[in-house]
Amino acid sequence: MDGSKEIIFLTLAIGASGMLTLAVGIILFVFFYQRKLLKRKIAYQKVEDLLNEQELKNAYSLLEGQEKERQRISKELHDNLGSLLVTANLSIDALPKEQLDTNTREKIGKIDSLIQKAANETRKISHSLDSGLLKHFGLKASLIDLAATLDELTHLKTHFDIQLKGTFSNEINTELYRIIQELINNTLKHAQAKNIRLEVLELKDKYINIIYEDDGLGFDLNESGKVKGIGLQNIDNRVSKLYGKITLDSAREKGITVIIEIPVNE
Amino acid sequence: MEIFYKIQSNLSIYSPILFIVFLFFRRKDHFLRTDKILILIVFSSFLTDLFSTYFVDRNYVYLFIYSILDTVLLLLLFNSLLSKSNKLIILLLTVFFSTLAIEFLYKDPIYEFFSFTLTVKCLIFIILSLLYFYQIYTKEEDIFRSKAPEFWYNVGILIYFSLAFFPFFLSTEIMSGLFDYSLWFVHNIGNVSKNIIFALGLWMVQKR
Repeated sequence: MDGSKEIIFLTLAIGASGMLTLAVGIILFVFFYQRKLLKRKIAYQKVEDLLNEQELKNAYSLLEGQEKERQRISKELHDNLGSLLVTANLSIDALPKEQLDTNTREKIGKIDSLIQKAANETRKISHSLDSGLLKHFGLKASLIDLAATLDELTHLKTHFDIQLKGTFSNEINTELYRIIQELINNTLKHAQAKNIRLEVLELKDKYINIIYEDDGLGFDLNESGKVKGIGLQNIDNRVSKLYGKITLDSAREKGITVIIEIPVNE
Repeated sequence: MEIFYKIQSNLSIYSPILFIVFLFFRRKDHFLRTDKILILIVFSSFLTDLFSTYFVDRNYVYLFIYSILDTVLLLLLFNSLLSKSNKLIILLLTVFFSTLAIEFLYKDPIYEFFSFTLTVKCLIFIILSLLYFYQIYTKEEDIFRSKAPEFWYNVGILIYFSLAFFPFFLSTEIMSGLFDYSLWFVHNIGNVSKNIIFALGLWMVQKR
């Protein structure tokens, strides 16, 4: 190999190796720099996730606090104000109205009506703040509580048999509770009953069966206007909303029997 | 030496086969403009090599046409890869064609190798690939670039032109008869590496 050939060969060998080394060096630098950036980004992401988690915990704590405060206010309204209004209402109902003159009776009627409205509003506000017992302890506990309240505050004697095992949606719980409340209200307002009997049974995990009876005045089923007038229409609507069936049996001086069947699996 | 030359020469000619095989396994609807340009570049290179092998007498004519086509396609590729690169691409295209025109005045494209133009072409694409890497380096928010096919296309281009620079620069001497063609293996190593890396980039198209 003469001198010029050697120079060319060396130039090619050294030049190509140098260029290749340079190129590979740059590529490796960019590649590892990117990897480093990726690792840093992952680390930042982890920190961000932790911060978000902490923020979420704080938000939950705040909500929990709000919820507890609402429950407290709701309980106060329901237990104190609500009870006072019911007592006032019952006291007015207990007045010997036949011994009073027309003017006084009208005034008492208005007061009674106002107290009822106030009680209703209190109940609504209480329930809008929190469905309380119903929401947290379910239908069974709420009905037992209702029976205890009735026994304590009214002349009615309650015979409740609640056999519920499953847990149901809030909607079903609320609607069933309202239906039973409405039935009891009707008895209190119109029936002059001494006893009410309520059976709530869960059948084969498919249906809830409600049997409600009172020993009050009852009414003639043929007088449909009166049936609507006593608020059964409202109950009928609620039952329909749950795709259920309602059967009503009553006669004058024979009290009332209401059988309601609600599907719970659909 | 003859066998060594034939082996490395054939390896270089048929190295795009891996790329073509990978092409059949990729979903065509995933291809972007850059992928399509690169496919054209690989196919044009492969066809040129095949024609050159079977029409050896007119070797430089194919190489001449291929060089122009390859340069235009590569500039289009970098136009897609680099942001705000229109003026630069036009400038580099002008530089390439000016070099070609100057060399055309002194050389016969049928019988002579355009060493100067090809050396300038190497420099152009080395600069452009470095610019692309610089762009990646400066855009810190773009952290998944190394997993993008374009990154690997650029790696292939940089390695190939870095290895091809000196063979092209010394091509007049290499082909003057002082050496046998086996010195061309440096270029061929670059070509094989480039095609393998392009195939790797193409494989990453679906992971984009």
